[in-house]
Amino acid sequence: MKPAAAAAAIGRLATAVCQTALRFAIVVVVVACLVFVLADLLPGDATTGVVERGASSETVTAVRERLGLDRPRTERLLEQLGGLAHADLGTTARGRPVRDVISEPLARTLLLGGLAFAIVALIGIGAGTLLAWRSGRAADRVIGVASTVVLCLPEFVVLTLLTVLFARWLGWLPAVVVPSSDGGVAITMLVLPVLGLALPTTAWTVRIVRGAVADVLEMPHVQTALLDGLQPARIVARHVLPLALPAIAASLATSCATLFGGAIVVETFANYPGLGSVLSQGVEARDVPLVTGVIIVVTVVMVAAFAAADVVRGLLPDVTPR
Amino acid sequence: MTDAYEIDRRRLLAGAGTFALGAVGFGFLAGCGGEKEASVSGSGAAGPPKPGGTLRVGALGKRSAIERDPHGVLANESDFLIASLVFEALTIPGREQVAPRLASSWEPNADLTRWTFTIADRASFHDGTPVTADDVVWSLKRLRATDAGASRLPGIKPGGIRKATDRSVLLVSDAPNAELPTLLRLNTFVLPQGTKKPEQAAGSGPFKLASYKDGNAVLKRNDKWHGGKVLLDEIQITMFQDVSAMASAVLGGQIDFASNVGPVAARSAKANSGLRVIRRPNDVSLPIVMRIADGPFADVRVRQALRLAVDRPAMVKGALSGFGTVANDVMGVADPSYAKDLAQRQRDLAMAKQLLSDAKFDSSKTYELVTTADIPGLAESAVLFATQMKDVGVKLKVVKQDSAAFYDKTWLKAPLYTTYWGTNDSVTFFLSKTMISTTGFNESGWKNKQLDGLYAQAVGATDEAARKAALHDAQQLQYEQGGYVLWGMADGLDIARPVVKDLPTLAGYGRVFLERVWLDA
Repeated sequence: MKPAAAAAAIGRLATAVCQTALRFAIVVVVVACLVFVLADLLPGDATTGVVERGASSETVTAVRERLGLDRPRTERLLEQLGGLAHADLGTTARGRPVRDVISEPLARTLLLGGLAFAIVALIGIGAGTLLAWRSGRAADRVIGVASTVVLCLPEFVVLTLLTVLFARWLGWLPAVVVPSSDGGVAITMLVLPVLGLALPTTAWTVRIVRGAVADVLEMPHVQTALLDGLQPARIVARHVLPLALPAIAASLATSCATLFGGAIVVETFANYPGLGSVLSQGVEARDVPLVTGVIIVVTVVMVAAFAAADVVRGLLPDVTPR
Repeated sequence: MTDAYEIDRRRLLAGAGTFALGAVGFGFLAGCGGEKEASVSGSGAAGPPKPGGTLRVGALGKRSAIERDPHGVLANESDFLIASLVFEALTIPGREQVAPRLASSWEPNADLTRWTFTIADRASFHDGTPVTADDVVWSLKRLRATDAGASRLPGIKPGGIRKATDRSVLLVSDAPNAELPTLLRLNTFVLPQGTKKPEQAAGSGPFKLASYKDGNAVLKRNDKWHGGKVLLDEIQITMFQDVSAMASAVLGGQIDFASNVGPVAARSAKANSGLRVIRRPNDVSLPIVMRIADGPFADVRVRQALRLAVDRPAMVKGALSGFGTVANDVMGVADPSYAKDLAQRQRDLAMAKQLLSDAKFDSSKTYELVTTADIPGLAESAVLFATQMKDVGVKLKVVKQDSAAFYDKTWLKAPLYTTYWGTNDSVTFFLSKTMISTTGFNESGWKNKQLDGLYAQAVGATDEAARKAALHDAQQLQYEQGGYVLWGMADGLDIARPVVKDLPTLAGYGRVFLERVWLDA
């Protein structure tokens, strides 16, 4: 790459970063407002989860006042947004800082999601490329059908099937997560949840990558390279993947959202102490600050993933040899 | 304080599972128990109890609802299990309704307004200091000052909690209350006087808290427990957020005992010869509430018709997978004073139709039956009930609400809805809590002077025969006019590996007392 081209690339990168940062902030605030209002509109409020069934109406009123739920919605929303400015996510209905409640589960969900994402990316790109290369042959058709089947299955079905096979029948892996007394989770306990979470999205990604790569393979310069007798690995690395990468990056960014949605389910079924279960429990308990806090954190992760994909797409065309 | 006899200790925060397996009902009441012993196959053949070993227990709980203060709202079964083994309440559920725990005995005065509880000899905290009346008074006052204090210590004002001697405590009640020891079961955890951090406080129970993290705990045996020799070295408690995950763990051998798993998991465990299903009868009542105060079911003949139209055995089979028993529309089935002489109501479609027509019931309309998925079998029972009612021309549409919406919009208000209760060994509990006209939780909106009078007679009677007679008449009134279709009782269901012996067999919260358990390993 020539120095001038590199400088131009860096300039574009800087612009892209600034633009995305602004969009980033707007998206987070809009999502926070939406989630707050929607969660707050659900029938019932956090009081019912904090008092005991059959508590007197005076108790209920007192608790509602203590939780500040008698104040107008806009006031509570502004308070939550105000806290956001200095990274304060507010307090749960049970009086604990939202940040404390979600920090460890967030780390665990990022670990679970990160491992699943690595599988999605590696197998998705690897298998998708291979299938496109061997388009129309037996492997392509078999895996094509298999991936369709897997991507149609919800994560919890995949996880259940894996659990029956590897835990119940073969006895190779523990069925669910049982944390040790210090809260640690053994690696063997991670295998099934990670696979259960990753497989449907991997199947999806394989199909996207296969399509994107197949399109590029039709392009004249690739055909020329093929006719020139260049090595397949070199063609793929130098001429095919760079052009297919924008589509693949977008798909991978989308898969982050899919993986988080799946994590809510997988964590519950595998007893994995992550963020997904905190979110679903927060919704059930009508704990609006907790729900909003979780969604804000998740939005930040998602937006970062999409931003990364945007940056990749913004950079790629110029570094691709034509 | 007529509206505050016993507190149901926890509201189920919502369905534990996101999916059809649903939540297990751990959202019930404090004082629970049952008189019957469940028949547990294979538990007696092992010879004398053996000491030692670690019991791995699974219990349901939610991270967002974790509560370490034994006087807090213990919505998680896991937290409640820990509190019940580390700390001690004055009384606990027993085979005769109430059993001693920290209090070894109790005595009322002549008119049943002043109760003296004596602290068990040798009762001491885990750090070795003896439990004194000062500790008990301080703890009960602390409990009384919580949001739910008035219902946890029913009829007792803060000033009514007094030290009698160094080893006994006097509780002064606003009104005569023969059932006070029963109503105090499980609630009255005692901490050392002046405790600032309850999560680090020493209890006086059979186990000491050795470690705690995110709802999971390790408990070690208290060798000096006043209640007798504890056999297990250790109990490891793992919190599960979902009942199917907990069932997977016990099926896969990762835990030894899964508490309160519900019928779906029990069915799959039954098919697995390596596991044992423990059935605890009369664990949960899940009646349908018909509103008496007004609306389409205000006419007593309509209520009788619905009670005659329901096919009870089919409900037990369909909604509870057969893990339950048929009931007779009277609440408090496991009470020794339960009116067993009332004829079991059978399905009688002709009579039901006649009653509906006498009452000029509008069969052209469709009525809503509101339910939740809070506990296994509840929503299923509503659907099945609605189907059965078609046979007498009553059209019901089942509306499923989530827990928060249900308690906001439906409970205590709607003409027809499902409810559930986990204390089923006290007829008085239901009279006081859900039926007399002054209670705040009159589920069917029943205002009946005769019932109110019978209730007052029962709790104020110093003579046992007079008390029983009043209770019987109150039950007869429920049977004839009440607002509940109590079609059946669900069993409590636990799953254990066969090596686990002498598990609790009481219904309700009797299940948390694991200090007699041993491992035949």
